[in-house]
Amino acid sequence: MTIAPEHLVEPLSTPPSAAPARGGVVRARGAIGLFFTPVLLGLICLALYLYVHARPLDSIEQRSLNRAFIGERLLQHIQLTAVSTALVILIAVPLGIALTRPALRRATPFVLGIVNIGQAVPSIGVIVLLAITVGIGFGKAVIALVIYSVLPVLRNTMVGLQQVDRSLVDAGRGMGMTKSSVLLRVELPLAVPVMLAGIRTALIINVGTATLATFTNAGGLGDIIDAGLVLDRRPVLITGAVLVAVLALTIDWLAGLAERVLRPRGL
Amino acid sequence: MAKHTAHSSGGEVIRLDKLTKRFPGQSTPAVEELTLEIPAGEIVVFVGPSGCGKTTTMRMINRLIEPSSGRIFLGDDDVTKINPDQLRRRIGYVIQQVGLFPHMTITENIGLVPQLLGWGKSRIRERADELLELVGLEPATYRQRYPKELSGGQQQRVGVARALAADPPVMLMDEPFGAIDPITRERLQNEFLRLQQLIRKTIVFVTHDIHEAIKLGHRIAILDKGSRVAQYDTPERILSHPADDFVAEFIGPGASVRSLGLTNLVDVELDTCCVVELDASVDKARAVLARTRQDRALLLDEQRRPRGWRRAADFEQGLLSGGGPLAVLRRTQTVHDVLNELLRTGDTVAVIVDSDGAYDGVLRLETIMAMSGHVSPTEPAVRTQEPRGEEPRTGEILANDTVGVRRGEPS
Repeated sequence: MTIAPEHLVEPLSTPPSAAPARGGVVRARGAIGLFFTPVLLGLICLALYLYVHARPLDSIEQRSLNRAFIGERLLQHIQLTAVSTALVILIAVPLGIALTRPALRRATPFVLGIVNIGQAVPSIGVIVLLAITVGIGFGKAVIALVIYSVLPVLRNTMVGLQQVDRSLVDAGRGMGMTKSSVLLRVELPLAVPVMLAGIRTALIINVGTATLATFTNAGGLGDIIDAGLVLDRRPVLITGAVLVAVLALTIDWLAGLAERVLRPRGL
Repeated sequence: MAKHTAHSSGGEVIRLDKLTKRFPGQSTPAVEELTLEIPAGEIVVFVGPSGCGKTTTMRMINRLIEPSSGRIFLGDDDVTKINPDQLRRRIGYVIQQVGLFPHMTITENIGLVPQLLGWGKSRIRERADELLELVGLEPATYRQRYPKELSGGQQQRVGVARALAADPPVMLMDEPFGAIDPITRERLQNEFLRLQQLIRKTIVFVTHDIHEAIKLGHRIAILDKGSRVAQYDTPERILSHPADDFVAEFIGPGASVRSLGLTNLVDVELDTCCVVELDASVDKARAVLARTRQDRALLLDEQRRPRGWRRAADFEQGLLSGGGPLAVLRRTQTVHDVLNELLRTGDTVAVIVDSDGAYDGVLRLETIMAMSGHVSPTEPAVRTQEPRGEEPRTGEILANDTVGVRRGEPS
């Protein structure tokens, strides 16, 4: 096969936070992180709350820094991230499975090439280009996010399936398992750790990139940051930025938790 | 190993009829018009140099590789065109890489095919326990473990158990012991032979190791390029009468010595010798030697375990002293082992003991020579005149002497 090898050999390359914990020491550190991350995030939120409360807010600041406004933006942001990631999984996992089947292996370089373009173009470019061509709003922003984050999931699905020992497939087929049963009961479970790492990467990309959705009128925490910048209000800017960071770290923490729970035993 | 024998339905004959495989883009077929009958309940070993098509042939039997032409019969069924997945559930499959699924417990691995066949959970659990016991793994210890927690040898035992799970009449084994260290391999081979005595499956075994083939096969098919059958015969016949130069070259030198490795001591009529029990008096011992006209006697302890050879002259110092190294072998060993032990100790007589280590008889070098069709020209094959029935009497006489060795010691 002639797929760009750097994408296949290094499935976990993109953001360093997405690398799964491996080995005893790393795993132990991961366990500590699993416990301290929520504590740390809670403390940051508390600090932010105290900081904002300690200063008298002017009317412009008050328009952004109130429970309803922030809550709505937070919800939009989570929706953008969740919907786009769910779509990415729905698209990339079956595509990845299909591209590793013998019949479709020839199409692999072609598909990966296209998907690569999606990620190579800067995210703001994708969003703006899409806004210009198909329009603005929540749905269009989701499309942009999907285009941008489909690669890690697709790539890791393929790598995860390809790294499954061929002799296991041979053993499964040899003992009378059908192709689909080998896929469902052997290949996919064994690919899960690598696939989850890809999905975690996609989540992080989406939670970050969703900030830019504000430029296409799709809401999200980017609204707060944008307001802070445009209106030159530092507390607003800081609140938006800190909330995006805290949300990203929370989602990463949850994804890490999921990786632990979903990793098959015995590996 | 197995205290109770696992349920087994025995084997089915496999017939290959003009089986041919042409891979696309290759001018010569990998397997060309192979016709072969593998008798039910036998181990047939496919052996040959790499690239001869032995693995391809084996994988055509369960149709992991579809034959280009020719037919495959399992028992009376033509299975060339039936659903391959259904077919494979009737054929056990063991590969060199073992291929246990790492994310499944040992029980889940073994239970996979039964599950595909729609067995109930409790029946699968019982079957897995039964098979674990059969391959010598304690079910309580191993059933919930994951493959990575087992050694290579243990994994392959589970591999064999998994292949036997649905009690298939036929098993295909592709170099199953190839990746295992020599000591464990030897043990697994022995266990495999014992297992086969219980289950009597029809087994096609692929290896490139002629020694393994000779040890395990009821029959050996020596394959040349294109799976041409150079010789298909019993190991004994192949060693003694290689069909052509290719076979002779493949089995290599030392065929006569190796054929001795096929003769188990259980199947050999042992020679007898003069024995003396530990609590006998020196005088009696000497008398027995004189009467039987032997130059030495074998000293046995209370459990009739051999202690050493004693010559008449040694008796001067009492029964406990004297005697050189002793070649002792168990009945489960082979004539080849006897020869080896004789060379090591420099003796010409080996003592054969039973499973408790008690004296069973002796085997003389002349007897071995006579066995392989040679009689030593210098020494006529002198077998002891003493019939076997007399031995206990010898012991009896001496044992009746109430005072033991110490009385015989010079005072």
